[in-house]
Amino acid sequence: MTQPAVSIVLVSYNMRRELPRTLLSLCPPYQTDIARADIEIILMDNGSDQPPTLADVAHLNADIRIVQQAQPSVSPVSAINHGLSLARAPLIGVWIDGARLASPGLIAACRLAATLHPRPVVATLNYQLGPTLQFESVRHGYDRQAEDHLLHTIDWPQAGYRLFDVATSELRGGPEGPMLESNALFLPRPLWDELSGYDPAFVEPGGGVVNPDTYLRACALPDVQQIRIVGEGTFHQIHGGVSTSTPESAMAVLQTGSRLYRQRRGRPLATMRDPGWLYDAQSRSVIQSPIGARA
Amino acid sequence: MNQRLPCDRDTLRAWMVAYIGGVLSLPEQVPTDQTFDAYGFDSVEAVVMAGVMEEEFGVQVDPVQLFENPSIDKFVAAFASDGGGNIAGAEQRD
Repeated sequence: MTQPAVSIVLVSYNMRRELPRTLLSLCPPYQTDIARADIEIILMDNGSDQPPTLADVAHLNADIRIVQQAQPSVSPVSAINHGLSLARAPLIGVWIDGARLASPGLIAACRLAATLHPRPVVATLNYQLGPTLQFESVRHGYDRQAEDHLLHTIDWPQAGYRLFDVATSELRGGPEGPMLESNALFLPRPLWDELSGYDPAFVEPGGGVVNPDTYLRACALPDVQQIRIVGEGTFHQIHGGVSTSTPESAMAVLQTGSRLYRQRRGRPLATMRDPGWLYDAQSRSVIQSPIGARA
Repeated sequence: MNQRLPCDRDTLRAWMVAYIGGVLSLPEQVPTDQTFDAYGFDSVEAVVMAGVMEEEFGVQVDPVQLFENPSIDKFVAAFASDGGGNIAGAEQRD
């Protein structure tokens, strides 16, 4: 068995509607400029009522391994760390929310960006399908049916980049603005090992703010370079998750997470204000970086 | 959130100035009379601050009140122990 170039550890829980689309979006030919042999997908099922099976993914053009988490938890942390232990590629992306679609060039862009620095922290940007952030959209009738229709109207998956036409960025300040987390964070294996993966202390539902914690810890490792990917992204499908259902639940998750983070880390949770390098996936070059660092 | 924080206006103002100044790494003093978004303190950071406030002061802090009192001066007036503002609106929300 040849070693893939990129492993993706994807966590799923009760996403019968969303997961097939997500997996399709991670596989060639939807994913461009990358071959089947270059990718492995480790699908960590975290206790779904109807777990996905190999038959469900047999039609997809990728090496997909489905793993049932032995002791499922409300937090995805154990599943992620188990998946990380199984990953074989030198570059590993953690996909903490299995309800997020990828844009077509995302994996190739992350792979290329990761070659630009010996210790890269490659962060993709988060979007949410719909006219506004989903906790707001649901107040105006946005639901799964509306989202299905929305994807139909843009001819997805044939027109993958049209996701940008029907989505809302989670970054109000744009790609160079303050950022709290990345749904798909790509690090070389040694950096994941230095981090010891995701922190098992985050036992609350959804892991609380474990994803921001991991992103911030990765960026704080010595001699790393954060590289944000511009022109690609991950797109959240609505599925009743705690942080996207209502404004109240979204705020409660963040506020409680902030309090617990302060207890655990001894400092306030803070957004990452240094954008690092911005890597433009279309031109395949760094468009914002310290002097002399353009690729 | 229907209670004031257990600290006076000067203490709460100083705490918020230090917190926000630290988050934003502002070279100058945080302008207490300007709205949070005027100097780039966004809604996500406000909700995070509400969680830290709860830890710091030991009382519940409704982040919505940071949006309805969107400057340090306004929030301090409404929720410091010796604040002169009216929190009746906040009480009705709860």
